[in-house]
Amino acid sequence: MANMNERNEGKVFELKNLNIFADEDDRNIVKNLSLYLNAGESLGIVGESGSGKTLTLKSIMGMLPDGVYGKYDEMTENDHIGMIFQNPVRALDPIMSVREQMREAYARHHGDRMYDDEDKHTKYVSIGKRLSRILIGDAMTRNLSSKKEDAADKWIKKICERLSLPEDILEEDRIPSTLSGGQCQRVGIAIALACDPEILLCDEPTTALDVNVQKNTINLIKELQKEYGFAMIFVTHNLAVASQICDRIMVMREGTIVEEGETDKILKSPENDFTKMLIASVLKVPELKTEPKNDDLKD
Amino acid sequence: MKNVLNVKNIYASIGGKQILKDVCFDISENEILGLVGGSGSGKSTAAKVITGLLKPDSGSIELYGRKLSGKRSRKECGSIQMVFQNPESSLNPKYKIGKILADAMSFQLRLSREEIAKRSADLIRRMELPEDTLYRYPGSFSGGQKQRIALARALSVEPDLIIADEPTSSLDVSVQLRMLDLIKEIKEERGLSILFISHDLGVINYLCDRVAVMKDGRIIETGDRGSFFEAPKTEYGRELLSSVPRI
Repeated sequence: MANMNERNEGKVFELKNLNIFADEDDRNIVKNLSLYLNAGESLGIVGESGSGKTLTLKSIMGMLPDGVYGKYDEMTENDHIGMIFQNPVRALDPIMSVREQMREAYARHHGDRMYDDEDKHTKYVSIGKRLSRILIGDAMTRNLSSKKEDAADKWIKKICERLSLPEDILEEDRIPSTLSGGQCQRVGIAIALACDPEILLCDEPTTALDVNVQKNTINLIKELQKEYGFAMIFVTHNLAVASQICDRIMVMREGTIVEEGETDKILKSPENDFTKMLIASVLKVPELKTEPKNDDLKD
Repeated sequence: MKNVLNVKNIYASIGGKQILKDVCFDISENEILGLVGGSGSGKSTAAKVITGLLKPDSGSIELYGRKLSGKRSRKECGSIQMVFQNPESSLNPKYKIGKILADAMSFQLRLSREEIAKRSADLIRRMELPEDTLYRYPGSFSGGQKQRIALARALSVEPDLIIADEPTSSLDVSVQLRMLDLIKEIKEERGLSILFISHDLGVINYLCDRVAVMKDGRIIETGDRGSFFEAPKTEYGRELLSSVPRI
């Protein structure tokens, strides 16, 4: 994979002394934040709203919003960084079909590599498909060659299958508003995976979802991490969610990291008062004990 | 204990689509009923029907045994108050908090100006909001503070029942905890009945006395908090319970 920084053994990413300032009054929003990521590792950043978690991720992506600017001493260059956003519906283009958005993401990252993936069979299918499109008057006018279309098609089909997205979401009239929140989040995940990420940035990807969809999404991200082997930064305000997915946790408050360490250590013996407060804020639910008493009651 | 609210066989639809199917439940005095379910299960629609924002196709809603008709009197409207999910959109951004509270009280209770000012100040203090709250606009408050203002507005007209529709789901966990504690305290102080809608079972377990589980527009399970969390009767209840992230 490209651009691996070989100076840092085992480290795929390192960021030193990130400071983010507000344009308006030069207020220091994120203060001297340094972090590193080992290959295949998940790092959790936990903190309250406004503590600078999202801005940190955005500065890694190079997409800080207007009104703030960032400075850092060193950041590993890497083209293979994908990001999953908090609000799955708003992260997608509302008037472009889901399929086109996935295709665009793939084409953006595989522009010159698509030809290598080709085999004769797909080329054959492609001609058939193109013919049928012409016959039914549906001209695909995107700036992709037939070969590229095929590779993208193949990838979209594969990734949808992997993410358990139903095939009908790929129909031309399916824009994000016709999908459920969980489905939109999985489309977001697919788009993030389009760059073959070595690093995946997750910005509260489960906050906007129902608990049962939340659990599925977390499990899915965990499985994908095993399959793709990417390292991950997982931002959340809920320590319980972070504890399920992260190897290490950094606790952030008002732009500063107040505590960091292995997940177990943070949870069992937190040193900072703020960390203790975050742990106490997780509402407990008793473990399930017995099986359902009566089969008739199954819904 | 006396029943405050009886919801009987409610069927309701939006845009021709049947959302609620035979929904029945009741809430007693000084009780918090947690209504749980996934997105689109009909929880918020049920809240709309109870507050009178949506007319049901059939079925009846009784408050203290009195049937609420389609067109509700001023007093009936005031006796059921609601706290909404999104604090950003439930307060008028162009009104100062003082006016937001005063409007509710003068419409419902017809109080004098002095009385309104006194009650507003008391409520603000009780909700642990800053002293100058009444003179500020909603935009200058945090999400947690806005939700407390919304709760203050609901309480200001002395309702019998408060419906809280996911009031903490947009808040941080730490802010959420303080809000839940506040709801608990207020309930004890005033003997309020609350219908608390949430998809977060951690919240329900912390706050509620009884639980009703909703799926696809039907109530599929009701029970005491203890018995529900120990052994849910339905598969869906178990699925929800096993989905909660634990430390």
